Amino acid sequence: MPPSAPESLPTRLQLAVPTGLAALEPARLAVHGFLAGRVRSVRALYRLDLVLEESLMNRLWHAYPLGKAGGTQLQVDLHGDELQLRFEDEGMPFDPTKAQRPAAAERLADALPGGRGLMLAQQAAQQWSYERVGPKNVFTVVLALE
Amino acid sequence: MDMHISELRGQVSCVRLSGRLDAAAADELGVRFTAATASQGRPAVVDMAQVDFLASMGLRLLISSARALASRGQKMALFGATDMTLETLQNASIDKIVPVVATQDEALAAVST
Repeated sequence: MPPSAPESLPTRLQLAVPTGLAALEPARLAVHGFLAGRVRSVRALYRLDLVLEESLMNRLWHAYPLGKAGGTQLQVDLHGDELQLRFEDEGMPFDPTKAQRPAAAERLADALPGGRGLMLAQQAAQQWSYERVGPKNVFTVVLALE
Repeated sequence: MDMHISELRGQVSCVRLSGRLDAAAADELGVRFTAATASQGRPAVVDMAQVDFLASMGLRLLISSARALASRGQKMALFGATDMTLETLQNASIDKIVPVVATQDEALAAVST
């Protein structure tokens, strides 16, 4: 009897991520589980974690500022040596690619403590884009897996 | 994330962090970290050697504490960051406003000047 062909691994993961700090770690672990054994670069996984954390935190800050319930639909697609993350929500329109970067302070006294999340995500990404599709924010990030 | 607090040379607070310094950890750690650094009113060094992930909310915690300490005339320095957390610190230009050095001795020297 010929050996059976190896079952092909899925190349897409879809997750519903609730809005809230407690949802970040389960989402990260789910994405790592999906990629298990397929991405070995520690640097690529670090950058993935930065993009996940900062993008989901950004949704937390901007998509539902009035505490309206809502979440993010996350779709992860593995294409060869690239990973595409697509974040969709129905919150307030917000284009992360146009968010103002904090000015680089020369002195500690002038430094704002926050506002660096999207900048870190952009630096980790190979490319990123935003579009408003009907009632949805659609934010897409492509990461190189090295 | 774990945090261990000690005293170096009898006059410098040393905080050793280990684990992921992400939003959840920064939220959980915030008050204790500030109490261990800024509230002491004396120089502080932070050992980053066992921190394997650093995100913006972690940076916010570090900057807030360094600023609070500076307002009391004291310095804070970070040391021992791994390649990737060091890259995050540099990408966010934190190394321009807070000393980021390799060793504990260098950190002690940085907060003593």
